[in-house]
Amino acid sequence: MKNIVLFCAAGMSTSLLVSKMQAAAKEMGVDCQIAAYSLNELTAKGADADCILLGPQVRYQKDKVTTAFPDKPVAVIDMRLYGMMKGKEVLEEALKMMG
Amino acid sequence: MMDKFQAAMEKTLIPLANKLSASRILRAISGGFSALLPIIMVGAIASLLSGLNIEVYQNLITSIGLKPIITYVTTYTTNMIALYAVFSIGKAMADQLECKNQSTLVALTTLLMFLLVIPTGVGEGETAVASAISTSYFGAPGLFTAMILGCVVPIIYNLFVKYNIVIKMPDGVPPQIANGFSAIIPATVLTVIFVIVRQLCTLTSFGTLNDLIYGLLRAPLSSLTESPITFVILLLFCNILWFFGIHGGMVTMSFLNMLYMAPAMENLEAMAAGEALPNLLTKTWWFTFAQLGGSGGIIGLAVCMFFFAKSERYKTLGKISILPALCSISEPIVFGVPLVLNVMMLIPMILSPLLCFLSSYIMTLIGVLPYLNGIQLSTGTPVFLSGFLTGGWVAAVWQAVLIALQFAVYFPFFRMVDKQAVEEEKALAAKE
Repeated sequence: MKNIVLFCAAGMSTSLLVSKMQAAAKEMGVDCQIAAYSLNELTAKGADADCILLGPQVRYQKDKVTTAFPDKPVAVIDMRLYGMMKGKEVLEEALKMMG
Repeated sequence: MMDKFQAAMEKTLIPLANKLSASRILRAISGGFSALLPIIMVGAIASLLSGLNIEVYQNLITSIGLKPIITYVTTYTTNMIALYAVFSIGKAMADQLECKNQSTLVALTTLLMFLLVIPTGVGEGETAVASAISTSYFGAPGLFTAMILGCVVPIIYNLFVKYNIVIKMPDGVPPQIANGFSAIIPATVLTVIFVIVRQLCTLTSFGTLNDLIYGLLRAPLSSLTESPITFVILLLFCNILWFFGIHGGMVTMSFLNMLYMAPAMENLEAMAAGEALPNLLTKTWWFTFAQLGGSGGIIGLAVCMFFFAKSERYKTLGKISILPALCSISEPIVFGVPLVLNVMMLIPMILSPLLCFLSSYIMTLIGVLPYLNGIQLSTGTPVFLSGFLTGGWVAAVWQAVLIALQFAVYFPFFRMVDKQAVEEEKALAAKE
């Protein structure tokens, strides 16, 4: 099972998006685990991730994340998709990243 | 022209935000404080229960003997917050240094140093108790010492680890035990240093390190925190960062903690003791008044969209964003409208929090609004509840006024972007 992990400042607004993504995953029949955390938990929670997505508000931390996990796909979520809480589109993006 | 300006700002702001959030001291203080949340919350609830200013209620809890029991909880949480802070800041600092695999030991050593500089003995003459420690060193005034020691002690400790001045155990010894031994030299040397510091402080007119730090920092810091200008600068900085799509709160929160946490704790202590609240501006102000609805002060904008949007796009966004906005989560609006890099929305985005802050400040000065009690509510606490818990029903009603104010600030600008969206949608429909 693929493990998609999202990070933002407190993990709060991102968890809104996560619930939309989970609903989309169910609808599309994709078997994956999706969760949101605060960037403070990067080392602990990023380790098991197959794919790391960052909220656009913490995009300035992307370098730090890629240095911590050079082998993992890392991306910043598109601002509009994030704001409109487009769970399906973000999920498709994540699935593409994991190949 | 605008593109160039944006590019230039991104080039300066992103590295600045990066640098600030990478600063070990800021990270240690802000990480250390966020780990204190359970203790702060328990203390706040107890303060609220014992200080709630309703006569019938006060008479009731006093007559059934509940009041001292509740106060007891405050004594060991809010009134000793520095004791917890020094440990958790020390740990947060150690986590970022080479000594991170023994950060608990470093935190314990930091706690030891904090205690070492506190004098024993309470009272004078006949009533003196030799084997007592005054808990006043553990309260809000001790926070300055906690922040300084929480950063300094791990840095010194780290030197020993870095230059390998530690007792090494043979390979077969379990790491748990070996770590404990490796802490002996740094802890001993630090003890000697701080015992000397303690003795040196007794030679000064302050008497103790705590009083020295508090005495030297208190005056400049309180003139800084009491000035609304400091607050306004933090507010502007935060919202300008958000305009560029950078989480401003994450960057400004460390400063907010450093400057406005101690005043908030002093207010909580005073409330629990039934005294008048000493500080006007505290950290509580950020969430209760200034950034009502999250960054950009956007509840008013969410209301604009929810009730008055003509375009499909903003109708949808209004539905998505209004509930999060009421709980101070502004990202759907910030990125959905978007407010980020949207020059048309820059004015209200800066103005809304600024006016919310200034009007609340004036209303407090003229005595319409009460001083806020300093409770640290976590983000996500719904509006009105946050006002009620921190300033009673007056503050909750005032929050409604602030939402109307935000609405008025955003409405004309919202009309423009909404009109634009309607036209775009029409053009799109015509194409199809």
